Amino acid sequence: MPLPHSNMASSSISSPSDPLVRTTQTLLLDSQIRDWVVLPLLVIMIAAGLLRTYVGRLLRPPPKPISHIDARAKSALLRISRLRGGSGGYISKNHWEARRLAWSTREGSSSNNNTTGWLRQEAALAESEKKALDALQKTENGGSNANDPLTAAMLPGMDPSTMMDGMKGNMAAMVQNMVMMQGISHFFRGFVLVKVPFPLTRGFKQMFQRGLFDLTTLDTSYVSSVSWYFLVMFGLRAFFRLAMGEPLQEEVEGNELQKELGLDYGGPPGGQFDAPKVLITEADNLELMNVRSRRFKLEDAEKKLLGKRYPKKKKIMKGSGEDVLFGLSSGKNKALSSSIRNKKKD
Amino acid sequence: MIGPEDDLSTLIDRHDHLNILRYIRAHKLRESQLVVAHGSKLFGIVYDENDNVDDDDNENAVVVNITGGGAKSLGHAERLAALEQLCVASLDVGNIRLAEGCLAAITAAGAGGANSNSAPLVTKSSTRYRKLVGLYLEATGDYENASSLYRQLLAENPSNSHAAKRQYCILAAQPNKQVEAMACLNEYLMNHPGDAAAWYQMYQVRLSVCDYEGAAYCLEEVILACPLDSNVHTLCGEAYATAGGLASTKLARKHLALAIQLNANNLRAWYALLSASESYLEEVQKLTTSTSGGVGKNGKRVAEEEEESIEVAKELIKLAGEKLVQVYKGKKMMGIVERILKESSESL
Repeated sequence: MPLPHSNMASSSISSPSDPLVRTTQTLLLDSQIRDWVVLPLLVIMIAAGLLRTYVGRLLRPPPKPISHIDARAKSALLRISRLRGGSGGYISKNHWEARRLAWSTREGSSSNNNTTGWLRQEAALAESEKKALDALQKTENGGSNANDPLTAAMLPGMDPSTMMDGMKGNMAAMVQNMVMMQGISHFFRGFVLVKVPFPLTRGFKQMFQRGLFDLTTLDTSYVSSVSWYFLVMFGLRAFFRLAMGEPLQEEVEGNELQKELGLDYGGPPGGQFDAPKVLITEADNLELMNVRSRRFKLEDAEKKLLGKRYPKKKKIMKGSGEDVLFGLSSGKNKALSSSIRNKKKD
Repeated sequence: MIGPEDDLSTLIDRHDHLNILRYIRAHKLRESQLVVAHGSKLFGIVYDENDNVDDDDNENAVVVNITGGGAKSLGHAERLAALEQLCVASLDVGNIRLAEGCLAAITAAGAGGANSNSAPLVTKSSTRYRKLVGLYLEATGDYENASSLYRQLLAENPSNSHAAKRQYCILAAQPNKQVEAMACLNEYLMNHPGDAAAWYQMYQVRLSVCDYEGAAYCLEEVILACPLDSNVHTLCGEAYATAGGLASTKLARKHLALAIQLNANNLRAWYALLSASESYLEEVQKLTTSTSGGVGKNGKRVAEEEEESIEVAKELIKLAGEKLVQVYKGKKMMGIVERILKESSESL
């Protein structure tokens, strides 16, 4: 923090040749620096942060319709994730396995009468519909700007307008940060603003004394103006969250409702949902799953319900009769039990 | 977390109308009576249900009250959400006039008040508004217009799952269009395979055409979505038990046992377990006796394979009987229950 009651500027540094003295002696910072640099910077940052959120809200694009193919694929993914997740253990083992096979088999595999799995069919369908959509768009564009090299160079399935929308929200923040950085380093360059109240190693010099590279001997706990800018920028996030409050319940519900109505604010920028690819990946994952490695709660539900009354145990205790489960020869069993009996006799 | 943090009864005691509505919305409850009661109070509507004489007057009163009422302190988002909720709830309880008032108030929001020149917040072309209009048309029995509205919405945006769902509902509500309804539901499930509620609807459709295996398949999809629901397991067990056959009855027992584990007081599951175990024993008996004349070997094999399972079934019957007796001890129903249990104990 800036130390008041001092009209000495940063000239009172000890001689740089004596490192021991340097670490112990404190630097007196002008109170004018506090009044005209530190506090204005803080105020500017808070105002800029508020401005950024509200401009970002204004620039947010209206919700766009979700593509029919994507919605269908996402719903299918939801269904698969349920089967793969823990709830898969609550249906019968055989039926789980039947679903797994029916959804994931490849064409030509012998296990499922040579029919393709449901997921692979869905993927093929999504692929073909996507292609049809692209072709449609191309013919539509063909009339207006067939010779446009930009649209010709575009990858199929990439819509320039959707790419722009993702950037729009970030644009405000980016432009603002650039302008602010330039302004701060132009107006407040070279000030030592603040001293943090604890010693720091030289490794923090880059972080705390940006823009003061000439002062190699200055103690690391002094913070330069540009570094103060960065510290405040990241440090204020929690403050903004507190100041602006959480989004209204009505807003959150509205967003949910938009989804039901088939509209969506675009996801994270650049994150394009590629339905056929995702579906194929899911099918492959499902194909690799194994029934034996899973536990089925349903299979031992009766056993759990009956608890001690479950009759299987009685049978083992008796040790007589055939092994009904595997149809093993009873000879072994008898030999085993007789050996046990012999041991007991011993 | 979303929604008010108090529970519903405290909010009701406190007459915190807005937060009651928010609570019901956040927890996705279907408390239409409550919503209508507290929504009306929130917007200062004095609504007399028996007043059918001057229809128009009353309607106007509702509209005026909603736009001018004591809800001025609400923000636009809160107000509109509350109006939407009130509209749906009033349709649910059959209060058409209140819904009309809500619809009018929604479109008037932002435009009304002191400066009537400002543009309304909600235009009539808004998808969310038209969704409400569709519900209103359905409630008044105007299926033609509702259906065409939904068709229009779907044409604008094919992934509007709400419109697709309502189209099925319109068909299902008409007794002479059951076949079309089934086709519509099928189509919907093709496009939304992850919708558990639609699978449950499909279960009911399958049940109505006596396709018990298909019904059980649909219920398994529901189970995958909410695996810890005792009632769904009960229904699934019942569907399998009704489908019949050795494997199905065995599976029914398992589902019912799981249902009981999830909720030990699920009496329907206890009865069903009793019945399913019995029918399982009957199936075994059928296989062993009917084949004894011709292919005795098969029957013997079945008997051997199922030996352990038969024991389990008998234990289950005993356990269920004990539980039921314990529950009904000293009650009027005891005589009937005892008679049922006596019948089933004969198969032991």
